[in-house]
Amino acid sequence: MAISRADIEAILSAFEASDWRSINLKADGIEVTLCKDGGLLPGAPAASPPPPAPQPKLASVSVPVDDGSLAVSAPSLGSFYRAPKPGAAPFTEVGARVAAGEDLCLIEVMKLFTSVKSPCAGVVTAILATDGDLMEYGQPLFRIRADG
Amino acid sequence: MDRLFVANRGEIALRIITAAQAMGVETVVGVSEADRDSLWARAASRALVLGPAPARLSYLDGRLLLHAARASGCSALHPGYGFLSENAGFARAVADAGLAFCGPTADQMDAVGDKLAARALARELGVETGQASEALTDAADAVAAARALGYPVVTKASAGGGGRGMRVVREEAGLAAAIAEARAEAEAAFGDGRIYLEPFVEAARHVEVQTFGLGDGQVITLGTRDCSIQRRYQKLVEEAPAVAVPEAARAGMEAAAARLLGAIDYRGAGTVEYLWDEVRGHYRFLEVNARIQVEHPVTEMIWGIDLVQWQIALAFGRFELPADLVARGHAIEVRILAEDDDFRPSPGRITAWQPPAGARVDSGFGAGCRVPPFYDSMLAKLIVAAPTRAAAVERLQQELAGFHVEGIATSIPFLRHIASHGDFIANRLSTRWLEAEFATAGEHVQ
Repeated sequence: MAISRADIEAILSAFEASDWRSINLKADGIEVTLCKDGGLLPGAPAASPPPPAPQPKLASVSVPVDDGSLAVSAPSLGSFYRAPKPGAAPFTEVGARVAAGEDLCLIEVMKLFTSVKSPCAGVVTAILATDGDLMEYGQPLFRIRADG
Repeated sequence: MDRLFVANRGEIALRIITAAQAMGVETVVGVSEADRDSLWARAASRALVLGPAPARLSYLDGRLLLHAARASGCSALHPGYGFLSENAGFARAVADAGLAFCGPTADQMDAVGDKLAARALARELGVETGQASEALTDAADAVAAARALGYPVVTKASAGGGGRGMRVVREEAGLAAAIAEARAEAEAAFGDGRIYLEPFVEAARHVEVQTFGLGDGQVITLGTRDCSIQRRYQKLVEEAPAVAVPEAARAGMEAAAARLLGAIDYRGAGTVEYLWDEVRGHYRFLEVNARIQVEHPVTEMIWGIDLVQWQIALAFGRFELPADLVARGHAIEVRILAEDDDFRPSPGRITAWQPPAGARVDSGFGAGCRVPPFYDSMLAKLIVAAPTRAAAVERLQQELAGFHVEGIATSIPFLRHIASHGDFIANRLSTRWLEAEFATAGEHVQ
């Protein structure tokens, strides 16, 4: 039986209610990775710099898509920003390499900025939102092809 | 074009959207992931998914709601009931962001939305209030306060409503545990764990006055409602007017409500609640609900008005008081909950939804809808009106008999039982009636 969107919702709800910092679930060819409190995935490079405050409070969801890449989606509703501040260079570009835990973008909610981090090391294959756009929770922001 | 943000879910979200659309106002609704395919998400001009299913990450996150409202170009926000509707901090943030709030100002909420503050104001204005403690500080303070009031006592959340934070305590042994539970529940529901004590009145009616303030000291009162049929402090059946209470007492309650809310230039819909002590023949002020209430339709039905449209019109600065306001007849509302015969929640997929033709049904759900397990269990409200209470009761019985739902369990069988009960027909009721009459869970199923 394939894992449905409702199953992922249920997993997400259970995760949100738990004390766990991250979970990685593989079943039926689908892999779901959830992390919160800015927590990096187990096995992520320890050399990554600590995330700047404020730390993200919500989990971002990474769901595999057809071409084998991971879709990284908005952890909550908010405005999408590709750069740390206006005029600065974007965090990343299509074709760029990213490390696990590397900042991909900011989601702003009433002047509170939360960084969305890459769930894995790999290459950014698509950027699905435009700077300044209002994103809904769960809306895909990036696609990343994981290494290996 | 005026655009309104709807910060709620379920029947009231759909009710607000429908009311706004009838006035030519566009709507944007913020929903959780679990509600993305809901009727209200589909009915609004635009629906925005705020966050995942848990309310604290969606419907209770004021920052998300406000960001969504601003970014979608709304100039007013309707909070509905429950969730953040009586949260003064949220009302203040909405106003600071330049949006009109369909409800009182944050200062008015502070003055009356907080139960302890409201009692103090009522006393100052000479409104009859019952005894109560101040906010409890520690265990010793609680024991002393309960002894001074005399057992049984009931815990209340100062920020409270909807029965949350209420526990009846019959003896000192159970006091500490009840307060701890009440505090935790209030903290979780309102983010404010202040608890106080009142004497527990065994047999009283819950009577309330619907008001609508224009924000300039003028307060319209729209008669009384009797909401005595409650289970665990949750109202199940509501009527207007409160015909069991003598006219003079009802007039007293209305006048006191106008005095109380007029004193703070109250803006918008609000309800002043009283306990009517049938034995002693007096009323005591309980609290103010600084929002639209679940049971507002019974008042609308007898006055022929639309209170939600009034709220929206006031927010957009286009409210005009109707020339002649007259109440006629009697109205009864019953709450249809997704609960089984043992009062347990019964979420799931509704496979058939056939409300009685011709009756008013305010609903958030229909055939094919999924009732998520994360929220309040209320699905819909059935409202009937007739020239007299007896005729309204008869109409209620007929409409409940014709209300057909499949796929999930609902409270409809239980409501049918209430509607045909001799005490209900004769209006021999109190706030204790339901639990006394249906003490055994499941007894009503036969």
